[in-house]
Amino acid sequence: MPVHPQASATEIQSWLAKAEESLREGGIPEASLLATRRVKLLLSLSGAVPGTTGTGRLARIDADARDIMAETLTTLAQVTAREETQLLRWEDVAAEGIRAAAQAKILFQQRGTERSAWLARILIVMASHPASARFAIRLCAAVHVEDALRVLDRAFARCLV
Amino acid sequence: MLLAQLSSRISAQLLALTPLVDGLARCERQFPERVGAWLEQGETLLRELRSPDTSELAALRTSIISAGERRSGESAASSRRAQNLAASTALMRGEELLRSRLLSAEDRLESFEGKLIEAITAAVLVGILPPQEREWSLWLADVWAALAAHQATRPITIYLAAALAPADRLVILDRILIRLTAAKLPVLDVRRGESA
Repeated sequence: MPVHPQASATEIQSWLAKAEESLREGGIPEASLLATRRVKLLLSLSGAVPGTTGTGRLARIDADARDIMAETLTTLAQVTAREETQLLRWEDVAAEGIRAAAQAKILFQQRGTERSAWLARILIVMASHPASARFAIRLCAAVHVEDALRVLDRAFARCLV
Repeated sequence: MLLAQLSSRISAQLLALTPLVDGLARCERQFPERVGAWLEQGETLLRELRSPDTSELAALRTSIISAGERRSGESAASSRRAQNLAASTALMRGEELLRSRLLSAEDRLESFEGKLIEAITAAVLVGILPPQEREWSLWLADVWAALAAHQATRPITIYLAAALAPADRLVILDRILIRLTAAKLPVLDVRRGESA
């Protein structure tokens, strides 16, 4: 979710609201933290915070808004890192499954099919073969099928490297 | 309180923050009162959990009331501003307390979920997952019974039964099976066919 480093307080306010909504839709608990950041910014805009009235008011508000933006970007980066760590754990499982499936010679190439359809077929084949079944089943039990395919895709890229 | 129930009630409480903040953005005058009410609900929730944070939420509420009391010579607008500021500070701290409770409940559930994923995987591999012929909630109970009956999965069920309330166990089992069945793996159909 991009935001200009020199964005005004009002622009940051609307960016914050969008970021909050996006976290809320994803069921991410930090959505409420972003709501409190919005409170901080609103207070600054309303002049309720000491130093946000009188001379230099606008400069102070913009500085506050940029501090809030920086804090929020850090929060968003932490949330992304947390989600990534989760997926990375399952990527390891997928990679083990790919290695087992390769040894069992059950993998096949993506010819004339879309990547997602090919990955879905690979997942089914892996789940059906004794050599790789436990990895594929574990993966499907642990993450939603869309994430399982994404994780499998990334694991393939890793195995090819 | 059950972990899943706790998690869902705190989530709902945290979700209630957004309209509250939207109210502040619209310059609604009742913001401090609404924050007070929100903190009181949070207090009730934490009291049910016998959490020591309950008293901090009560103290935060008091700070809002106290900030709203007009000092001599103070204008109504200035007193209102001070109360808005106190309400905001209280809201931020209250949110932090509730969110930390939510994250710890979710972490706990996830660690148990990880163990149950292993058991379900083993159940599919050894072919003891019962066919899904009955209503979903009854099937969940059938799956749990199958896990508890087989030597490969029994230790995990004993562990989970000791660590979690039955309703929490069903919640994590439900999450796992929803994901697993959504993957539509033929291996699950084959097992179904074998059992039929």
